[in-house]
Amino acid sequence: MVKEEKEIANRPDNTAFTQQRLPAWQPMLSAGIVIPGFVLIGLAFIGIGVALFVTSRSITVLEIDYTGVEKDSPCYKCSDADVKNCVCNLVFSIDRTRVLLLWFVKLFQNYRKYAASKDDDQLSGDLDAFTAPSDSCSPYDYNSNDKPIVPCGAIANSMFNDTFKLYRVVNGAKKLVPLDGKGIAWWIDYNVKYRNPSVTPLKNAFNNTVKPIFWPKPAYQLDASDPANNGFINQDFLVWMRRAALPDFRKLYRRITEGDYAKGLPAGNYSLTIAYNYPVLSFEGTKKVVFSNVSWMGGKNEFLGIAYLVVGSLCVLMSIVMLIVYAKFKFPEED
Amino acid sequence: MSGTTSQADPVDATARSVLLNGTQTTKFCDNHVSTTKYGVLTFLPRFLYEQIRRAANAFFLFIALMQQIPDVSPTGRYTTLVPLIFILTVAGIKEIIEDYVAVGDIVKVTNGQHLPADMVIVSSSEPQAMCYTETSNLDGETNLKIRQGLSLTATYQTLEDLIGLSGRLECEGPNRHLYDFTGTLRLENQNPAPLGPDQVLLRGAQLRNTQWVVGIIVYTGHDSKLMQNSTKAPLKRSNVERVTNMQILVLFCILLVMALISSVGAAIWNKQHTEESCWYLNRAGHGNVLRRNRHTAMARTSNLNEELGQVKYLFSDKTGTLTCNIMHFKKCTIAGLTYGALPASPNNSTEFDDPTLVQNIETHICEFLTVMAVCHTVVPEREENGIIYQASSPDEGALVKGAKGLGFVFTARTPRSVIIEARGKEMSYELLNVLEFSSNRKRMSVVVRTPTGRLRLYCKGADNVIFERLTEASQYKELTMAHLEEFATEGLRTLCFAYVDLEEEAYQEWLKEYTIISTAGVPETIATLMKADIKIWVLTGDKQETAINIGYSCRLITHGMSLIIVNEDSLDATRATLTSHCDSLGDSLGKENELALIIDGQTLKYALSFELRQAFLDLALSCKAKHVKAITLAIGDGANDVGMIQTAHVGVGISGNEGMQATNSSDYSIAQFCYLEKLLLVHGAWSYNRVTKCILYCFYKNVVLYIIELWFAFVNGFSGQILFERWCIGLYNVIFTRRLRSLWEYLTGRAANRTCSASRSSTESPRMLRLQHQVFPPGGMGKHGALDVFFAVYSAIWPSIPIAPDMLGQASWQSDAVLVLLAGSDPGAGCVFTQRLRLDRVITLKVSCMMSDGLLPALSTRRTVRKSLLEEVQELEARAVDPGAAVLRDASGRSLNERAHLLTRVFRKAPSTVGRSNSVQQTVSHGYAFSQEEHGVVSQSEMVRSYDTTRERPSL
Repeated sequence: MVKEEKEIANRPDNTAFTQQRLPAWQPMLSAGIVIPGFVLIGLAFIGIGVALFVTSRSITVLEIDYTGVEKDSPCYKCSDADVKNCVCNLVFSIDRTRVLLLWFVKLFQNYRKYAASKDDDQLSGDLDAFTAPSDSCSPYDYNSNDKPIVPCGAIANSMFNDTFKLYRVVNGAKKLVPLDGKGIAWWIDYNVKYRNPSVTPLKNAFNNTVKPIFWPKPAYQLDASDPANNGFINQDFLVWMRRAALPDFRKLYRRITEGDYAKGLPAGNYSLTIAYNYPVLSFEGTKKVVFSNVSWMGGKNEFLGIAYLVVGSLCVLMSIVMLIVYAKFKFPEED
Repeated sequence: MSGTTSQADPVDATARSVLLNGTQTTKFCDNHVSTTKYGVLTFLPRFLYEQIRRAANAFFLFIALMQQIPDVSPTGRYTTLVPLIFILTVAGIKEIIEDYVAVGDIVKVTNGQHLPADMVIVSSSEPQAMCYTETSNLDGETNLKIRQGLSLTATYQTLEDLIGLSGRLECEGPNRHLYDFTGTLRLENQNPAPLGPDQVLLRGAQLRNTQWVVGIIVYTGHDSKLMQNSTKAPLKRSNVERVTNMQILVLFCILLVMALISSVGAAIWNKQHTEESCWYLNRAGHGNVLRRNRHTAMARTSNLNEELGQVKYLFSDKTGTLTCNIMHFKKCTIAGLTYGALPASPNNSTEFDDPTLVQNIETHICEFLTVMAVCHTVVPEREENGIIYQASSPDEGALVKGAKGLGFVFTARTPRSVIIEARGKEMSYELLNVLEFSSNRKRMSVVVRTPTGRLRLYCKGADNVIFERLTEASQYKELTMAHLEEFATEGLRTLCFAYVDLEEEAYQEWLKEYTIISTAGVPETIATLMKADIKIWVLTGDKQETAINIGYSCRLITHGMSLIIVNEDSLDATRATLTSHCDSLGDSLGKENELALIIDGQTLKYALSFELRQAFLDLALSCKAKHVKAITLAIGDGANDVGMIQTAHVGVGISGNEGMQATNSSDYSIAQFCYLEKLLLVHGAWSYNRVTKCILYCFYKNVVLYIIELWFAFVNGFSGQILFERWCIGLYNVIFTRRLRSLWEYLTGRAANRTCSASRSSTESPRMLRLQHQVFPPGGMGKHGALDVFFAVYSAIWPSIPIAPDMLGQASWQSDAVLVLLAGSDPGAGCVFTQRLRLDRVITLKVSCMMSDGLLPALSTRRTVRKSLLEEVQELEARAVDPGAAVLRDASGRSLNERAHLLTRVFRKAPSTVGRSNSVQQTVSHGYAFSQEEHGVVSQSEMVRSYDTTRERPSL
């Protein structure tokens, strides 16, 4: 016989968990719970859906394609890649709007090699990475003279560089509208992930490095008007560096919050002067400016309201079907 | 001396000649035996083969190789290497190396030791070079076997004698026949003496009731009979695993198609988007498409757990397995009064404890206890702290011990008498005759002269045999019969005692019987397993008689069952019998009948011959079941069961009395037969349930993940960019399979992954087991939401936990892209839109996903449409009601209690016609406890006569 002491020596802990004595737990979905549950969910969703749909309908959006493909477009002259420092002017009228967005089509920020082409150490202010950029930036890590590029990589190199000036046209007179470029980047990017090196002046940190090949100015001179908005924490840079998941994407460009325009642009006629620098026609891309409102639910999105309505209706429908089935089958068996 | 021994010299090529006390001229195989699955050299190839045989693992091997390319690997190189080294170490420890002995050595084996190799007996401590061995490891028989050395050598008992031994031993070459041996012992200056199987002790057997034995090693290592009988450990795979393998292959094909689509897409995209046009892209060194394939659906089952839940046929080695080879005197009925433990606690007390017996003591009881102490073949042995009884069968030992406990101590045996100490008074019974036990007689008797000078016959045997021989005048006949019935229903094995005074011509008889319980829980376990529709086939090395008895006492065979006994000597006779049985069954052939088929080994050999196999199978299945393509389970505890354990889909070994061979070759080892119930019905069912769920869940989970990735490939120029950051994927796979559940269980103390609790689930309702076979929908409410919560939390806390630099910036993609994909709405709308919007969208989509999950269960519960038994039990459990009634009701009209079972038989016609068939036996009423070696080398009476325990035994 096996000795008792032996058994005790190998005995596992006698707890409900180790001995698998835990009581079983399974969600019990009974008709009594599910049918009312479906009705409630359905009604709630229909309510939300209606609210969303109505709100979305009330948001005005103006999209203007300024790529300049069509001959009658004011920017047609700029679409020729050989024209430098081209400026074009759009004139339009809008209802009240609060934000200015950029909309790109067929721009693949999600292409694998492209998306990886940056050096996170560098962008977090690590000076060692200034002198030796990561391989992931290749071929935009060193220039032809073997000088390190800062910020390196294809994303930074391809940063969007059109600039806009918005004028309100009142009785033929153009009045410049101040655009707020401050709060457009993600909080986390601005405060945590991207950091300038702690060197003052900032310019000194960039000694022995070169600016990205396609950039007209180095990183520490991105915003001449605001010295604090330079380097890696430049808001436009941050917005660009946060790559879009899809090739058809919108990026926030400016908010309209200042002075007379604290409540957004009043309805009226406007003129937008564009310094056209960024070529997209070579890859059949499109660039647009979008004037939009924001509401409690965000931007214009009719789909969301419709989706809620459909799901909510389905829930109610299902509960009715279940009720019929339940009534039909329950009672005969209740003997 | 056995007559089977052959005089003829074995001259075949394999014959061996062993020199005594000299250097061997021939080289024999050494005694090293390893029965582990892997050897040192065979480990790597065998291990790899086994691993790669699983498509999942081959798949992972491929992936692992891919991972060794630094640029591709996201998980590092050591994840596959560490487990490999771990398993290697474990396998190394498992190695067993036997003691080293060589052919021709003369060895001494002492009591209780296992014999190290096959050997020929020279001499022993017992009279006439007798010795007892327990061969249950070899053939499963539990009673002790007597072996006897040649009288020629029996006197070589001292070291000097043995050193002086010189000569030659010739014998046949190694073979696998356990009961055959021919050889010749040629001692110098002596006539050659023939050696037969009775002189041979086999490796694996255990020396019992014998202080020591000296023998000459003849076969060692793999030449020994035990090893010749063993088969190579097979590699097993479970059914679910096989299915999964197929699924993984399909998956792999899908994956290849996906990769193909991706590469074609990439080619087209690259043509359209040339390097010049897409000036902003850095296209040099184009990314590989294969990268997408890194993690994909996985379903890995590392063992046979789920198979346990699907067992349909249970092959059991009877003897040791079912009874544990332990017997106890539990109850008795003497002159119409029962004594013994209360039936409520048959498992708790192993000994007879009923003070009323001693209080009531009178003539009948004295006489009863005297029979117990006198009528047997047990040999007592004095040790410092009492008497040890050397019984050749466990039931005899149990009886003598029982008598001892009640004050009738059997103290000594001399060739002519038995000395007992009855309540402190020494009494000597002169042994006049011993009438041996045989399976035909089913009884054993002794004729003794009592101390008072009376001539008396004591008899014990099976109830029907004893009852036949009682006089008409016998008292208490009916009452005793009723008590016997009662005992048998409790699962006890019974035996009757009777005595007659031979001086008086009139047979004044009365009757007593005692009972012995087989071990704890077995009948209950078998009954439960049978309720769960598991078919049990018992294979035994024991005698047919014993097998039937144990069948009864284990409730394997119930009283209403007809027995078909097939016991023929030739192929033709077997054919005739089988055919006649098949015919008599008629229409009910192939259906389940209340029949038990009992077939002996010899006949089985014929029955399994090619032409009869089908007929036999038909017949066998008529008794037991409908399905042939089913999972089989074999359970056993002896080395003789190893083959069976290895062949069955699932092998279960019982670690216990008969050594560890069975345990080592089994897939699962348990300590007692009754644990099988929990193993199968609770853990097997759970495991099957979990594994199937887990496989479905894994597939589902990964499909969910990678469909998104495939979609993403279409919008990122097939560049191989992954949507989710690699650590996210890794954590997603880990967290959503295992950790959450454990956490949940810890936090709530409720097990989410069980269909219902152990206590009241499967053991109480064995038919639940069948329910586990449905395929579970991969539904589950939590995962959609959990996925999003995971990403939300992960992306929110990332900045403080920098897991991977690549994570930078991707969190937004994830929430965006998931939304975009699921909502099909406009693409990543920049950053001004509030977080609230995202959550709103998520909720919509999640709810629509859940609707399908909730709908079906809701309709099927509360008996709305069609409630499954599982659901019913779950409901009852939720309401804290015992689900037993529901299960009983569900048993598809087949009631589970005995009475109802008999009632249903009344309305069934087929078995009654079978019952009339000539060899169908219905006479055996209860299992009776008695087994002894028949036709042994030394007969029982001779054996009894050769002992004188009052004298000292020789020692070497």
